Amino acid sequence: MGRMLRGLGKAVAVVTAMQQIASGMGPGSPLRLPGFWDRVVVLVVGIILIGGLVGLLNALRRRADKREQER
Amino acid sequence: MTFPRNSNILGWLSDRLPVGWLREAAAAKSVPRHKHSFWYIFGGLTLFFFGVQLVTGLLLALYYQPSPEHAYESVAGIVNDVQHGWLVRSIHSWSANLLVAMLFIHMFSAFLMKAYRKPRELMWLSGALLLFLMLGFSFTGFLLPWDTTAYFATLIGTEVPKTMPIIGTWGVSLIKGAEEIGEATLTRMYSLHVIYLPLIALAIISFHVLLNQLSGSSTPVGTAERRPPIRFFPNYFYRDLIAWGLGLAALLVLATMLPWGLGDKADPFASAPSGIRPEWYFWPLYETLRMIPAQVLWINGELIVNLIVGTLTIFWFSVPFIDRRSARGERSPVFTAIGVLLISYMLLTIGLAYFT
Repeated sequence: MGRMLRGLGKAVAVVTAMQQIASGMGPGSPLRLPGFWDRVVVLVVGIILIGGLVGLLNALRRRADKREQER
Repeated sequence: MTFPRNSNILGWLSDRLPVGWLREAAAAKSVPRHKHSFWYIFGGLTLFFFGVQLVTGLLLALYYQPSPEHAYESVAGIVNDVQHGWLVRSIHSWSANLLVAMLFIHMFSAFLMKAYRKPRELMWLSGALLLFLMLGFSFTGFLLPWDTTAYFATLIGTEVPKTMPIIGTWGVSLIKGAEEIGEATLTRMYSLHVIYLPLIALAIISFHVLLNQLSGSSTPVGTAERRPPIRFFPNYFYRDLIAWGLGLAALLVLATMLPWGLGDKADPFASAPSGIRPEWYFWPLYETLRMIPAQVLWINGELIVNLIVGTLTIFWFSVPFIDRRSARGERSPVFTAIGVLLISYMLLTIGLAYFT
């Protein structure tokens, strides 16, 4: 599992690097973006927050649907 | 501070504002349930991405400087020096693309479900107007980074409509503000992008949403409703919010894993580099221009494309009034075929532009 995740991380890093070069963010680019793993941290924190919010909304939706059925 | 009726914020507000009326109006709307109900979610998603554009656009406007001398450096500064500026800019750019994608899905699903038929003609007209406004947002925003692609794509993009009869040259000079693309053009594009278009769009979106609230969502002709409709508030509203959450997650993946780039600073004296292309949603137009010869008999090729676009635009706005079968509540296979043909042409030309 760990090996698979590391492999996936490397594959994403390679694709991202290729995309960055294609979009003018490779060597010589005026942009200094955060590193790949720093961006992964932002993504993971964001997904956890959004996931929590979606979970809460889903619970509220179930409660509202149940009330509607009882009516 | 005291709350005369209920000891909560809603009670306090309801004594001062027509909150009860708003709740009743929201509760009055219901959403039909049938095999095509899934497509209703895209209208809300389009609205969500527009909201993202407003918020991130307001943040970017704090740092962006609309002049040819400073525009490029200010965009690079947003990414390099502003805390999380790279994320805000990347979200703004990706959200613009997702907004247009959702808008096209929403529009074509409404077209194929014949949602434009009586009494929703005004909803269709305001939606069609919003499509052009959103494309206007994209076109005016594209120049703002002032990099090579932005400059030359705008240069080419403002040349094509010139051949349009009567309004072509006038319209282009109105947008450009001068003969050459420079300070006047950037100022006009910026003011259109951040003042004129948002104000007009907000007014039309409010009208569109109000009409949707009054008329509700349309059920396609011949589609049986298997279950009773679902109340919009709060039941469907939660579904909308969940879809928005998923949309935000997708946006975050794109913005962090494929952050938006910036090319070299525009040099108006350099020749246009090869491979300059507009954004993907202009590719059908771009490919059509590439396919049609410069001169067909004695007629200019660009004029032909402009006439096709003009005719399609008039057709698109007239659909509710010319599809008489749908208006009578009958199936209209001709309009379904037109919709499928347009979607196929768009997908084909986008694919062609991507792979060639």
